[in-house]
Amino acid sequence: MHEFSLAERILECALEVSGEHGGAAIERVVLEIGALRAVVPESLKFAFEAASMETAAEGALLEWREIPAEVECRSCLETYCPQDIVWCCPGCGATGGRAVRGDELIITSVSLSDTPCLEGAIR
Amino acid sequence: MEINVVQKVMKVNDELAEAVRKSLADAGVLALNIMSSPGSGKTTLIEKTLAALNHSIRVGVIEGDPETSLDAERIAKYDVPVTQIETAGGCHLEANLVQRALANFDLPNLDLLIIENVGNLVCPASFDLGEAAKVVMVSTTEGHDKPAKYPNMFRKADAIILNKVDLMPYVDFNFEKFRDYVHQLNPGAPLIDISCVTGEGLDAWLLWIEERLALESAQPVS
Ligand SMILES: [Zn+2]
Repeated sequence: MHEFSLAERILECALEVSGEHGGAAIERVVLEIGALRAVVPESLKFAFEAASMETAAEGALLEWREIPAEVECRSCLETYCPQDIVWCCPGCGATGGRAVRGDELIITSVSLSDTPCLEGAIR
Repeated sequence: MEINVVQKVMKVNDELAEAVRKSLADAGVLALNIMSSPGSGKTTLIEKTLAALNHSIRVGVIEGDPETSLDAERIAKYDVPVTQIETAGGCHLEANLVQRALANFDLPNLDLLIIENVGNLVCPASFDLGEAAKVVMVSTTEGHDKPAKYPNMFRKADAIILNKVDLMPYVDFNFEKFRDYVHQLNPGAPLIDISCVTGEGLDAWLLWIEERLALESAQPVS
């Protein structure tokens, strides 16, 4: 469900970029989604398509790269990629730890059409 | 034309959460964000907490619900300031909603602000509200595998409450398994077992609040 509110944030950011470039039509939005973000990319894509209707992002492709989780051990400070929902350090066996990677939800690029969009970026 | 942007999608929420955190810190208010699935007993816990504190601490409550103000009406009976946020179907609270709700409180005249999040074990964990601590609550009737199914929520918790321990003999709940999951996911968070019906464990919960309040007031206001 929270994919809908995230999709709206993504749309806002993309429309802002489009607005900075004369309201050009948005062709593609690329994201990085961390494995720990609890985001279902397919739901996000669906929500984005619904939210972007009648905006400069209508019909834009939403693409993403998944970022795996990386955890810093709380006792030996090694970083490792957890293999299980329980974060267990392969070095010293300690559980828990701090996520240093995998919490991302970032727009890395927005592709705009070279032909100006007459309707502009107004929602 | 491809434009490189590195925009955190959560940026707006995170900035508002920081603003909320600052207003609360300036006023010396400890804010707790209580999260659980629907029906695990958040509202009852808040009621029991208010009754036990009996105005010895000045408490305000924010109630988050998809619809209705039923919970706020329950809390209002304890004669504390309460604001209901209806999310209109939304499955979690966001910082902008909390910021708006703060306007209804006289913050300098509060010590503790309890925020009851929308009942859901998934998305509330992803949205910073500007709280000082996150409290996750589960109940024995939900089964012992909740931490394994919703690890994100349990990893982020500053305290974990297990409610309805009085029902443990009657439901399929393996306490050892539950405790091990919780400890493995989040070795630092205290696990507090309570029953809002018998009152068992409520002392430990109130003590934890007291410790957090002491910690809060020990921090210099910037
Ligand atoms: Zn280690």
